[in-house]
Amino acid sequence: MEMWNQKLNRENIEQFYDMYASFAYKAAYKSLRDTTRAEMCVVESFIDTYHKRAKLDEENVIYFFSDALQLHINEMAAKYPIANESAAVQKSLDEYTASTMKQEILEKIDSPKFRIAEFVSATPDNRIRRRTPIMEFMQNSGITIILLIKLIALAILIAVTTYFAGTTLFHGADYVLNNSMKGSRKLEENIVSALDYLPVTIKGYKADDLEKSPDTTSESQNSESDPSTSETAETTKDTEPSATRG
Amino acid sequence: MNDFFVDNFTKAPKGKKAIASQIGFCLVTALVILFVVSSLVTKVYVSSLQSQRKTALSSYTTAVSVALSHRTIQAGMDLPLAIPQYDTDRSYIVNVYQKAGNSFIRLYTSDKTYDESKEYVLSGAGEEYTEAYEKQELIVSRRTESGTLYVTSVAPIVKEDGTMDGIVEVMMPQSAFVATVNGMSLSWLFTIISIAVAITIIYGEMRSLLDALIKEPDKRVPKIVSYGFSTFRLIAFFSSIGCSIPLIVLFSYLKDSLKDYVDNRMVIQIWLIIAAFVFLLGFWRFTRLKDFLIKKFTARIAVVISVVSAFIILLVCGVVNIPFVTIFLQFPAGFFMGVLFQFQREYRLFASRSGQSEFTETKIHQTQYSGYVLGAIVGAVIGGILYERFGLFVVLMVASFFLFVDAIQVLYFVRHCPPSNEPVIRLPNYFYALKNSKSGTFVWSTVFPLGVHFSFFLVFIPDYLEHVRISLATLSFYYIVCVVCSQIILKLFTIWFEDFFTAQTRITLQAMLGAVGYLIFALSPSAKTLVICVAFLGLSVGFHEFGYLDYYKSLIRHDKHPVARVVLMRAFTGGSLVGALVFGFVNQFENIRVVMVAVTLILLVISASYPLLMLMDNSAQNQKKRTPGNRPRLPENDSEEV
Repeated sequence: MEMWNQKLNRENIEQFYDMYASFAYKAAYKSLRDTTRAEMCVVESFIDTYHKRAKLDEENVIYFFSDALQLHINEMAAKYPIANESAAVQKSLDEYTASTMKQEILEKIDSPKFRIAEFVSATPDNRIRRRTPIMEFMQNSGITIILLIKLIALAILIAVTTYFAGTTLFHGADYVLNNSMKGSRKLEENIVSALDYLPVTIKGYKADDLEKSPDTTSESQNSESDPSTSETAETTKDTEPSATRG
Repeated sequence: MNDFFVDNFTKAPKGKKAIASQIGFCLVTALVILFVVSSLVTKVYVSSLQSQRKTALSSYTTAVSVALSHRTIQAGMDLPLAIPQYDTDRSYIVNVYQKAGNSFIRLYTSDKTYDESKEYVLSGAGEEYTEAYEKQELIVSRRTESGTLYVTSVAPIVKEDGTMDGIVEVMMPQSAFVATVNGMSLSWLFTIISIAVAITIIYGEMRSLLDALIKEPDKRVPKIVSYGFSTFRLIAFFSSIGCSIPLIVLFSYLKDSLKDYVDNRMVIQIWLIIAAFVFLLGFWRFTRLKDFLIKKFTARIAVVISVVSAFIILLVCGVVNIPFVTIFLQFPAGFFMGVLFQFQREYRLFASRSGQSEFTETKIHQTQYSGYVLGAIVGAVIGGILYERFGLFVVLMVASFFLFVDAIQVLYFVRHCPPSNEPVIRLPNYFYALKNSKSGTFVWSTVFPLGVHFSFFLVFIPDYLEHVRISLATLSFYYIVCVVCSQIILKLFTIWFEDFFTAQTRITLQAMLGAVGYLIFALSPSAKTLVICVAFLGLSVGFHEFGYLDYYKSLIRHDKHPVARVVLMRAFTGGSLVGALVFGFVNQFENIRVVMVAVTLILLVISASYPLLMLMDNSAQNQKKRTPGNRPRLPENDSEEV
């Protein structure tokens, strides 16, 4: 049998399958002793080889295929130990199984899912997508589309987690004051806070004197009716609260 | 293949993809957490602020209402209370209305822009005003007047006998009511991005450091390069953090502390210029003394001595905490930190002469440069945050810590690094080199402005941010913008349009973009336009890709090649020193527009001189073919004498 020496593509994948499927199946069955598992390994190996076709030189296709087959067999053997030791060691690939596997492989590589996966993955077909310096620059940086998707997903996840942790665990929402711009209340309810803005110097007394002598209430009441507030303007200005600069 | 997506999301990536993934995850995690937490805190802050404003507005309305309750309200009346300001030079607007049928007629307004002779009937207030009047309630509402939306507080004026006399309305613009200086402002967004990027860089560099420490050195190559490229970047990174922090916080510290000694702003600025200048003088110059140290004690011991000396100086500055002592010690501090950079220069030259083809001087220089800029980004964040929170002493000790880490790396990674024994160029020879019509003009036009840009980033911007009251940590964002433009955007352009970027184009674009950057900032000097400015400067400084040395060598006689590097180095440091003086002088002024325009024009003339010379030369030679290349290539014309 001749060695495979062509660049693998959609046109010759069937030829490649016909050439090596039988040997691959025999090898897989010999190690796994199970027809279903052997079929799975063979199918996956062919698909993997097809997926890597852009990076494989003509003479390396068969080597990659054998490596892929060995890897899948080892994985399968590690996952499912041989249950039936008495089963025959040798088993040839019958025509029906061969055509079924071939059909499965072709369906998979023609499926939209596979095509999207190929587009997203970093192994483009050289015939379709020309390698540009920009792409090389991006590939050298290690940034892939999958990574960007992962980062977006991570950002959403962390944002949601942090927000809920902030609002529920640390009760962040409790500190937000009800600051509805509109509202109404009775005038007399607000009178105490209004005193900050009213003149506090009464005729003949300063604010400090008033604090020292509590018996000046009557005079204070009288002075409130005094319209002459110009003299007290300076004192008033000092006692005004901050106008809440941001 | 069935599990392609599952595999990609579950299997760990390897190699460069693993590094990119880890750095990406770190950046996204830090950025998103900071952003979400900041949003929550801002929400609380804004609600508290608006609540205070609402309380102040309604309290003052009540006060006016009470004050007017014993007065007769009529046209031409005065307000018995002073009108408080809610912001600098911005006061509440107070209106007094009297009920007239179904509406209100204004009797008094504090709005001086309104013609009082015209009768004003309140419109667009809705039913709330009538309810406030009839039910004797204080209300806070909103209404539009002359196209401006106001937040209003309305209270009835109740007479002694309990009847209604009118209403008083106090209002402030909605924009002022919801405005915040802090909170989720643009500068804070910049700072968040800077912090996230700095965390990511620290993660990446620490990972790189651990990798370098764990892995076995390559014994097939000379010792100087046995640890690979990462050691060049790591040493540059940590030295850059340690050296940039003291310079970055210097301006804020001096401005804060000199106020206690000097009243005059101009005098304070002169002290700042002196401090920056002597630091840079010590840092860049006195290379013979630095070489002497390295020759006398070997490179590694010289680095250790310098780091210990720098630590003692920084310790004295932090403990004594007297601005004049700090200014006095800037020179020795700069000198000993400069030894670290002098050592890295020797390290680069020695490694490039090791015979390994991949360790070229240009490539090593680019690696070190990336370490320098990453270090400056991290240093600005660490220095800015720590200084504003803990003051000078802690910042200087942290800077010392990074210097010690750097010294340990030098001792570990650099086993042997003899001095390069570069020839000394005397000052007359240097000036003679600069006078040359072609090679001298090239130096003036390309390398000198790079030094000026260096001072713009490390001297002007920290000082300017302090001037416009923006957090020092935000400085890092400007560095990030510059690095992104110079190392990523420009790189993509140069890869994509490789044939377009000839040496001539690069030099011309460097001059043009630098001038455009400065001009944008000069015409509208603000922190926002500074972002655009540094983006242009980033593009400008990214063009050379350390190819000017080869280019310059092609312009001078072959026997003068050994001094070429020294000439360029002197030109760069000269540009840096001149830049420190010039930009310090620019910040002297409250309005920097005119001075900055003048500086920009001078710089444009200097940096455009060589492109113009080439243009004239090309015209004379009837246009020779251009040489394409990734970076400045050798010109086709003959060499000239220096």
